Amino acid sequence: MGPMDKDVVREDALSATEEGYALEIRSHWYRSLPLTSLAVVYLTLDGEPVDSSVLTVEANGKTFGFDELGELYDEWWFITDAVTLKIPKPDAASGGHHRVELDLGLSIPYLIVGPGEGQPLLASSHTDKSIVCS
Amino acid sequence: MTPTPEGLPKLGITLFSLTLEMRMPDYSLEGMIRRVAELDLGPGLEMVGFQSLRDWPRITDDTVVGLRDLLDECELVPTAMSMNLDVARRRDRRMTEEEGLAYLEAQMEAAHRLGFPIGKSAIMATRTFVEGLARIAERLDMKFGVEVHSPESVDSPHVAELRELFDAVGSPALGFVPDFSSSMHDVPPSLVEAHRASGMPGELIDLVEEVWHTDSSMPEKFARFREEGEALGATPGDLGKLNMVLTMHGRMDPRRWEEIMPQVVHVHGKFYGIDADGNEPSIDHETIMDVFVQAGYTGFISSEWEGHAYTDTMSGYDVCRGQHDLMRRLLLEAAQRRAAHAH
Repeated sequence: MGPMDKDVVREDALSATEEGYALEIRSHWYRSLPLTSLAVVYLTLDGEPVDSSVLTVEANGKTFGFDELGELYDEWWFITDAVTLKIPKPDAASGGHHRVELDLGLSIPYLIVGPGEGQPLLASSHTDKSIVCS
Repeated sequence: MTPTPEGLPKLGITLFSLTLEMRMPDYSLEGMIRRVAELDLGPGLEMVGFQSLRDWPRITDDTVVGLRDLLDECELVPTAMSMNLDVARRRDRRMTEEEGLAYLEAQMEAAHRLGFPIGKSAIMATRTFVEGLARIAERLDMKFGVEVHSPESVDSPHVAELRELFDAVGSPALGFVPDFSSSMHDVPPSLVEAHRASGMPGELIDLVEEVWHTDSSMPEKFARFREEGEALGATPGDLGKLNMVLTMHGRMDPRRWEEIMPQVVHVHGKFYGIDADGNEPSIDHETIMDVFVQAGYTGFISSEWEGHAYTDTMSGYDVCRGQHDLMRRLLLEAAQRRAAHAH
């Protein structure tokens, strides 16, 4: 119910490229986090699930495979920046509405919860909105 | 800036209160600081390094000079820099003590360059870590505070452990940062309203409020809320959201802050809303201000509005202005009582 959840996928977040769709996402956490914190991206585009392992991630002008994020503990996602998820889809086209469903899970590296050694808190945010592709 | 009279706590703000304002299209750190000054929300200025400063703690000389000049021009005083100990930054393993100290040392050095006299963060509760931290703070002629935040209280096991460690190490550089969230007398009405607006069933909200007001331990509260909540049809999602009410808001008697006042280096004036009469409906500011004045505390209290976690119906600037008015009035009243008592 947090106001930041509304900001994860903005109205102008989706665009079409030659390779597919590009979706800009914004963090729902209040402070910058390392890219290792981008732990869960369950994305569904027009009802079709997108396997996160096919995503490429653009941050700070650099491009990474989703499966590479685990090593990027020194690459920071600043609070006012978007991270772009590139979704391969050869027939992507601009115009028209698309339904974006996203479960974003951020692993919070300084909040350890649960019994024993504990686990970093997984802060989840759910988006389900229809937006126009530019 | 309008300071509080000599010999009283000083007021300020943490920019964390303005978390939603940082997401506005026209946001800039400079513009935000100038607005804080215009609204007389100083003189103290606190920020979260990882929130307000790009590439924290690897800040450039330009950033340092720019921020120092801006604060001078605005007659604002840097108070505490909020830091983080990101122990789970790597996925494959936790930070070692040595890495943790280096991580905080880099942040303390950056804060020092910016002119902040105090750092604050969670820490590892070991003798060697606390000793290392004391050395870092002493070398930089700074203080370091650990926040006492709900669900902790002045004598909860983690805080008790830290108090023992601090006593054993005996460094004047180490202390605590009380956060008002530990000493509340009610669940914030603005939070209750936000849950209702989100469609949370009313009987579950009533139940969590009732459980919150009981004297039982935290595990007992969780257990009772789960059991009775499930009987009312609560989903795991409902329980998860409402469990936050139990963890984020503590019921410690505000008088008990007295027990750690000699070690207080900074204060977080956590709050959730100001009502039509100018009061904070869930936190007894009058008693808390009295405790600080009677203890002779003359450090800073940062207004820390956290309502932005669940509502965007208020302006962070406006609610902090309201809390400043409330705290200033109560501080002056407490000072009069102190003076009357002395005569």
